[in-house]
This record gives sequence, structure tokens and C-alpha cells, in this order.
Amino acid sequence: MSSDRLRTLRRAGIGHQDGRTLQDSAYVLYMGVLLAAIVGIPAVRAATVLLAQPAVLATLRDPAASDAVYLVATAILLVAILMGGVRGPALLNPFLTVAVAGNDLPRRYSLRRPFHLSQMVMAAILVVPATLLAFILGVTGGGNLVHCLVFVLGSALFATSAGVLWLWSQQLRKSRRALLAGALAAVTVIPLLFPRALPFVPSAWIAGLWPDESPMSWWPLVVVAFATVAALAAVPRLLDNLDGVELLSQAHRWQSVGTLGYVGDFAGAFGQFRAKPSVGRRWRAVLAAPPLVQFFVADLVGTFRVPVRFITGAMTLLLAGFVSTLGLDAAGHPGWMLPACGALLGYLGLGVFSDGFRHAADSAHGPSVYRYSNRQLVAFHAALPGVCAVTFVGLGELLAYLAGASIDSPGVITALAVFIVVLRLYDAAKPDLPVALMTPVPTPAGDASGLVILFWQADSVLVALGVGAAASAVVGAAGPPAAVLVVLAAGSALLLYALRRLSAG
Amino acid sequence: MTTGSGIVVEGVTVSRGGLPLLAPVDFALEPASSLALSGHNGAGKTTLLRVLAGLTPPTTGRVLIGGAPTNERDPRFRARVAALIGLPPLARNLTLTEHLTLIRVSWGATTRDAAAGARQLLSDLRLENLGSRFPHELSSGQTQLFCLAVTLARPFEVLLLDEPEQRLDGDRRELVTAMLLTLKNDGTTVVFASHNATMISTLADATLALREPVAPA
Repeated sequence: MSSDRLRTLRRAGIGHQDGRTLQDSAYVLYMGVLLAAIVGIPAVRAATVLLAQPAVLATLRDPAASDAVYLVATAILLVAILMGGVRGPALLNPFLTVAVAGNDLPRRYSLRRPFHLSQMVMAAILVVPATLLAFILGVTGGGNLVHCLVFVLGSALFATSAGVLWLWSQQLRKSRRALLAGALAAVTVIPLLFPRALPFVPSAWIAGLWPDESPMSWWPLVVVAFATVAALAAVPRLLDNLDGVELLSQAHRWQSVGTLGYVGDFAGAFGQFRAKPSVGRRWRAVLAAPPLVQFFVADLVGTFRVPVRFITGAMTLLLAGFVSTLGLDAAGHPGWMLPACGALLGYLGLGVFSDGFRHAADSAHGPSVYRYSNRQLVAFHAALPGVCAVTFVGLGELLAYLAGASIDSPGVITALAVFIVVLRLYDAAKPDLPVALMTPVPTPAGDASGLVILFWQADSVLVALGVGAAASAVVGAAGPPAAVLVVLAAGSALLLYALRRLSAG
Repeated sequence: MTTGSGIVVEGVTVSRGGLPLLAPVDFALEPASSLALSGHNGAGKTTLLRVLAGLTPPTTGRVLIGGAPTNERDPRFRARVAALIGLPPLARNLTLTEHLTLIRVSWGATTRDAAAGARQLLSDLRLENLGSRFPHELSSGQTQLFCLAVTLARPFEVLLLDEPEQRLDGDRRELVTAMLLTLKNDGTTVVFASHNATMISTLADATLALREPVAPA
């Protein structure tokens, strides 16, 4: 009865929900075939060639490779848990969430289809690389073919269970989701202290199937199969237990992300995931103090009110300092990659502390709210990102030193920290996407204007990577003082541009 | 003709982070009767409606609808309660008739019956000429009427409405009031928040004046 209703419902409108015509579907198919031919097949071929190299094969066959599988499997399960709070597997668009998941049909029926679709996508994402690795090991690496096939089968079962874990997480409250993630992380660490606990850890099941040179054991396959059957049996109850408010909230968010992503507004799309304040409602954010201190404290209290975001930002800046220091220390290596990644991490991490810049930019484009000029507002709001960038990046540098890296260019790291502050200001002052960039650029593969928009949107990312890499190259070629000058020159240019944009309102 | 469900609210409060959003509320409402919620902005009218709709858990107290606790996850509860609290989600690419048809089909109607019911509902709300429009092509008053239509397109025993008179002209306010009165007389239990004295006096069997919650010193 319920399946009849859902079938009728699909005929009545679900198929037309996105307004897609037959031509649109044909174009999507055409793009899919072209992407597979131009990107997919060469990528698989390149991966196969890379993995088939003797050095890589030796690493894959090494018994220690299963440890890496153990860690990757744990990461997959953790991502599945965290994803449940952002985008669960059982999700429809907002209207259908109300019209279909909000009616009197149990959600085990109304949400079964989107869940299975998400689960299949997840399984494909995990099983394809597992199959590629098994193929390489089984054919080129001279491994046991049965062992390789069992690994692929185990990966499929593991992916199915991970899909159910994703669903489980979707219906959990935030605090319980965090508890589940913490429990999984703890369970993963236990075998390091008590090796006998290994068979009870889910990641160990798939790691135990890794087709290395050790003899194959069947128990992990049996356990993962049992776990998958048990997980699938729980799916109807998990679907029934999904919360309508949370379903609608996720559906709205993802519709906004889709719309913003489609028009190339990636900053807006990422903004949808910006956590909202949850604690510290009564904290004093406005002190009787000079404006610079006032704005610094207000911005700081604002970031403290989203604790997880604050910690994530601080850790990312710490990692940026650590990675950049290691990169500048790595002589004769492709060391430039590390400072480039460090600058990028710094740019991403500092976003947490740069809400004030966004606020100043918004104020510049509207009726005056504050007594201060735009430039004064920018200066006041620069205090928090400036202090945080220098402090956390510096701590990362210190950690790298404690880990054995030498600190030959502390000035360069500090200059990079200051540079990412300016880069954040530049990003906040950036105008809306110019309409001219949306002009179609016809190519045999379709309209390439999307690429132009992508470059325009990702300019800060590219600048961060470029300046980080350039700083590393100049340190090697002309010494740290020259690198500091290069970084500061780039920062000055961006600062001038940003201030001019903000003055123009 | 629907069989309304009674509502019992005992000692319900809502607070977030120590800040009260809804002062203690108690009431009992018989099936097929109506209650108007009045009060200043911020008194908690919308919050109370959200509690009744199972969208916001009460901090203290309990709510029973048809003798059962509110639980948005329970299909029987969803079948019993319809609510218009804020703008419902609308699909950009569906016409008004398609929206309503889809909703009715989702509640078990055949496509033909659902389409006929959708046209009737649009006609009842004097939107019959707009059936092939998309939501973004409506005026603000038409959007409000259509949101009501979206809410009324499905079966229900209890109807919760947050300021249904918003953005409507005098004629349309009378139309909506008359329509809700008919629903009540047919057995629906109606709880609505309103600032319109005429609507309250015409439709409500009782009025609950909410007092503003007071933050602890």
C-alpha cells in the first residue's frame, strides 16, 4: 500500500522536482561520458601505473600496510559519523521532506529510496579504489587472487555497514554523535595497549582482509558479514527514528549549498556550514575600553561562543606553522610544497577568526552603523586575526622545533602569518562575481565559463599556495630576508587593493 | 468531517541557555474547538505553537494531543497535526496546483482525486486562476494564501496556525476566517496565534493571553 502511494507520488511529481527536461538529462549523460573519457579513464590508468611500480608494490605487500588500512578504515567510519550531522544519507529536498517524509507513512518507506541511493554512492566510492588495489596486488604483484577477491567483497560489506553508521549518526543528537565519534576513536586506540582486543575493533576486520603476504584468515570476512547483516536489519528502525526538524534543516542547507555552488558562490556555500553560536550567551562581549580592545574582545568572545570552530581554527593554524617550518627546513626536497600547504592551511584556519573582517566589509556596503570609518573598523577587526595568526602559527613553529626541525627563518614564518591576515581581509573585501565572467565560453566539452568562475572564486586559495611556495623558493635562492620582503610586498599589494575596495563602498 | 483531537498542556515552559522563551502555560482544549493565542511580540506564541507541533521540546511540563505526547517522529502524530508556522518549504519548479496535488497524493489520494482536490482548494481560497503559476510569481498576500493551502491540502485533526491573517486584505481575512470556522465546525481542533481582533472574536472559543517570559535577574 505504502509502496503504491510512493510510486504514485513519484509519477505525480518527484521526477519533475528539479525541472529537468529530457535535453537536460541527455546533457548530463553527455557530460558524464566525456568526464569519464577525459578524466576518469586516464586517472585510473595513471593510478594503476603508479601503484604497479616495484617500490609501491613492495610497500603494499608489506605486512605493515594493513596498519595503514586500519587507520584509513577508522577515518572512513569517523567521517561517516561526522557526515551524519552535516548531510545524512536519507535526505530529500525541502519540499519533498515535508510532503513525503512529513506525511503519515513511516519513514522506513518514504526515506528508503534516498538512503539506498546514498549508500550505493558511498559503496562505489570505497569499493572502486579497493578493487583497483586488489587488482594491482592480484595481477601485477603476484598476490593470492582469492585473497584479493575476498578483500573486495569485505570492502563492499564494510562500505555497506559504514552507510548504516552514517544513517545512525544522522538520527543522533549532536552530543551523542560526538560521543559516538569519541567512542570509535577510543576503541581504535585500545588495541595499541591490549592487542587481544583487536578482533573487536571494526577497522581491524577490513585490515585483517588486506591481501598482503601473510596467510589469509576467514574470520574477518565472517565478522564483517555478520556486522553488515545486523546493521541492515536496523535500517528500518533508524529511518523511522529520523527527526523531521533535522531532516528539514539539512534539506534547506543542502538546497542553499546547491544553489550557491551552481552560481559559483563557494564562499556562500561554505558559509552554510558555519556553526552557529551555542554557548556563552551571558558572556560580556562589550567592555568599556578603547575601541581596539573593545573590538578585539567582542570578536574573541564571538569565536569562543562556537567552541568547536575555535578549536578547529586554532589547530589548523598550529598545523600551518608546523608544516611551514618543516618545509623551510627541508633542503634538497620538494620542500616548497609544505610552505604552500602551510599558507593554505593558515588561510583556511584563520577564517574562524576573520568574521570581523566580513562584518567590516558588510558595513562598508550599507548605511553607516558605527561611528568609525571603514578603515578604522578594518583596523579594529584586524586585532583578533592578527594576534591569533602570529600566536598559533608561532606555536606550530615551536612544535616543529621540538620535533627536531631547525628554525633558520623565523621571520619568514611570521611574515607568512601576517600575510594570511591580509589575505583574509582581501577575501572579505572582494566584490560580487562580475557578470562578465558568466559569459558562456563554448568548448567541445560544453560551457567552460564554470572554470573561469572557479578561478575567480578560488583566487585567495591560489594566492596562498603561490606565496607560500614563492617564499620557500626565495629562502633557498636568496635567503630568508629576501623571502620576508617578497611576502610583505605581496601582502602590501593585497592590503592596498582591499582598502581601496572598502573605501569605494 | 474530521474527528478532532483534544489538547492538554500542563506546566509547559521553554528556555534556551537559561533564557526563558515561554512562560509557564496550562490549558485544556476540547476536540473541535478553537483557541486563540494572543500577546505581545516575544510573548512566546510561535514557541508554544512549535511545542504543540512537536518541533520544539518543552523545557518543563507536558503536552498531550489526542491523549498522546507530541512526537514528530511518530507517523500517527504527523497524521493528526497540521501546522503553518513560518513559510513552508516550496519547490521552485512546481506550480501551485502541482504542489497541492503532490501533497494530497503523499497522503494517499489518487493522482486524479488529488488534482481535483487541489483545484478545489485553490478555488476555495480564490487562487483558482493562479494554479499554473510558480511560487515566486505570487504577491505576498497570495503567497500567504498559498501557504495556507499547502497546510490545508493534507488531512488533519488538529490545525496550528501562526498569524494566518498576515499580509491579507480585509476580504481575504474574512475568507480565511470563514474557512477555518467551517473546519472547526466539521471537527477540527484549531489553535492559532493572531493580532486580529475580528478573527479572534469570530473564530476562537477561548483566548489565551500569553505573558512575556521574564529573564531571571
